[in-house]
Amino acid sequence: MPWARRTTFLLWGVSVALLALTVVAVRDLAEPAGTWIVGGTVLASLVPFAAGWLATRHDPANWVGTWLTAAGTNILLQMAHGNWADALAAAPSDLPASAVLLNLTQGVWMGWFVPFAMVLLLFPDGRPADRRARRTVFALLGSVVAFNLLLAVAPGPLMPPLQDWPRPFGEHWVGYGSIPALLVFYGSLVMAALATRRRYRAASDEVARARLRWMFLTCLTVPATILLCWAGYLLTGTPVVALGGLIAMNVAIPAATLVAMLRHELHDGAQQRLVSLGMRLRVAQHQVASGGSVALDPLVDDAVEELALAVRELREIAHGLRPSCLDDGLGPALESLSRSSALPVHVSYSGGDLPDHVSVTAYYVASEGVTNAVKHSGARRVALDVRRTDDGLHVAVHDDGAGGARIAGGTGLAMLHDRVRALGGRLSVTDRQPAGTSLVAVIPCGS
Amino acid sequence: MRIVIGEDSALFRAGLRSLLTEVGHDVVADTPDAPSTLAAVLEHRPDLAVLDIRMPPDHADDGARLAARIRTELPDTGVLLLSQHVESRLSVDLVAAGHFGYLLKDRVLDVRDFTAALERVATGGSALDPEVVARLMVGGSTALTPLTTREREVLALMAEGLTNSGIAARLVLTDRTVETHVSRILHKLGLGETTTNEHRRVLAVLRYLESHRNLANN
Repeated sequence: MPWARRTTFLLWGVSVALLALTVVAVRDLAEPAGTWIVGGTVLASLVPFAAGWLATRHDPANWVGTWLTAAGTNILLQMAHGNWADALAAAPSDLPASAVLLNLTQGVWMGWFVPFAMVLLLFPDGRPADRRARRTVFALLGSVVAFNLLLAVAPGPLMPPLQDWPRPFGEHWVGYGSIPALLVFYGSLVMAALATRRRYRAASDEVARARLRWMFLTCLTVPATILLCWAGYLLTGTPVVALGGLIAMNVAIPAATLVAMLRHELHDGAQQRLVSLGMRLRVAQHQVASGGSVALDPLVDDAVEELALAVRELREIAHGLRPSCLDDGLGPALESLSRSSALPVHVSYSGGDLPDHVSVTAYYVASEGVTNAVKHSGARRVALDVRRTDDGLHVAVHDDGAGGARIAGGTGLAMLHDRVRALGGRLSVTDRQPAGTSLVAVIPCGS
Repeated sequence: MRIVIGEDSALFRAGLRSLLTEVGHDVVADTPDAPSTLAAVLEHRPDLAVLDIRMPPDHADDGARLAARIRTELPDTGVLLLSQHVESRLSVDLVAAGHFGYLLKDRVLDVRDFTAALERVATGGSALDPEVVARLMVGGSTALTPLTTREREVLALMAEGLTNSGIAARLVLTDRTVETHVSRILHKLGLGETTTNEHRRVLAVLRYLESHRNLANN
């Protein structure tokens, strides 16, 4: 079982334990309203839990589902922590508690933000998009650890209602280091939102962009909630105003993740849907042929409805769908392109592992180049040379045909030009001596 | 014929189940992921397992790995892999042991050919998708120059796993004519006497096409 899924299961266990802790604390408070609050909180945590589970089921090795689940666990953690603290304040000797633990977990509120920031950084494939995002992951998690450790030795009492608890680690000026740690934490949250924006802007085609659009819109809830938190403290003395931000974050980000994943699922579905419909029609045909009868009306209605769904799905994916032959990487895809070509194509490939959007664009350049050579130039040989250099991925298609190809409005080459430009690359078409055409694209690969 | 279906799309699974039942087969189990499919196959010991290549838990080549597993546990069970698109790597080793088929999902709609493929695989033969064969043939085209157009057609159908009489029916020829074509093809390609066993014949053709595909590319 992949580690991401194991961790999801582990988080469920932790959540149940936290719920049990809450129940113990609330019973000690002997407050009937407590039951309602606990019930409501558990209901609220169902949103990230459900989203986390659907995401994990969809892709068990993807940490996005795990972090969504962690957001659900966090709600229960905050509830357990809050109720336990209240119960300890009311009757300090009734419950077991450790001053060491209470001192080391003063930054427990950070749990509201960490899971969502991680979702933003890892969405959609479970890996940070680039080097900056990877650094943000380290800064985020590191600042949480540093903040909690430093605050444990900071001068002054614990936050209410725990202000009377002892400080077993003492009070040192080093503890003020928690302030820069906090600033790094806030900075990481902003960076996480920016990472989503970068990913959205770098998306190579409409489908990828549509997948990221909702995530792009919701990523702002993370820094916005922090701002609300501060505004609340400054204006009203409590962080209650931030509640709106917290709710928005806990609903919007899981929902956006699911929308993105389900869209993907729909795309996979169009072909299945059509073949399944074909099978149903075959079954009906067979039944009629062997003397049975078929209720025609519901069959046709269902069939037309399925067709309409499939048409809608196909329309959504009609632009720039990632070709499925890229599943094994660009190298094998180019090999298969050369095999299915009508002309002999000599492929030399040394691209290595590439980001998805680079290999998709490179594939389209190669495929358009080979198609043009076959269709328009009357070439007899085509050479396809793809290699990685310092300024990015070089994709070159050379043929020995008539030449004279130009990048002009409305042609396939013009669209290709836009595609390459969108990734910050360049595309050129030149005539070769004594005959033929060279199509060369340079696509930046990032880090 | 007793069949187990392993397929994660509920829609496709239900459709395939009713289609196979309708044409007179007994679907003893249908399961949505690799582990439960393996359990069902071991429990029911069917004549044939029809598997989707991409399945949970890993959504990668789970179906192909499951096929290899079934091959070692129950060598006489036929395995037919279904796929959305032609995978770029085809395991010749899986084909080598017989009882194996690999088809695109939409072939299911051609009921007669599809059921014929099911029977071939269950009785120890092979069924390879025409698309796979066509790609292999394009790659090996330089090596196939001594063959006539008709002989190439026959070769493609041999590679799909058809018997001589199957090829005769498809091309509307007599069995005798097909036999002549086949022996001439095998002679021209230097594949020797492999007409006795359908399955060995497929294997020989595949090995031949594979090797020449690589030559043509390098």
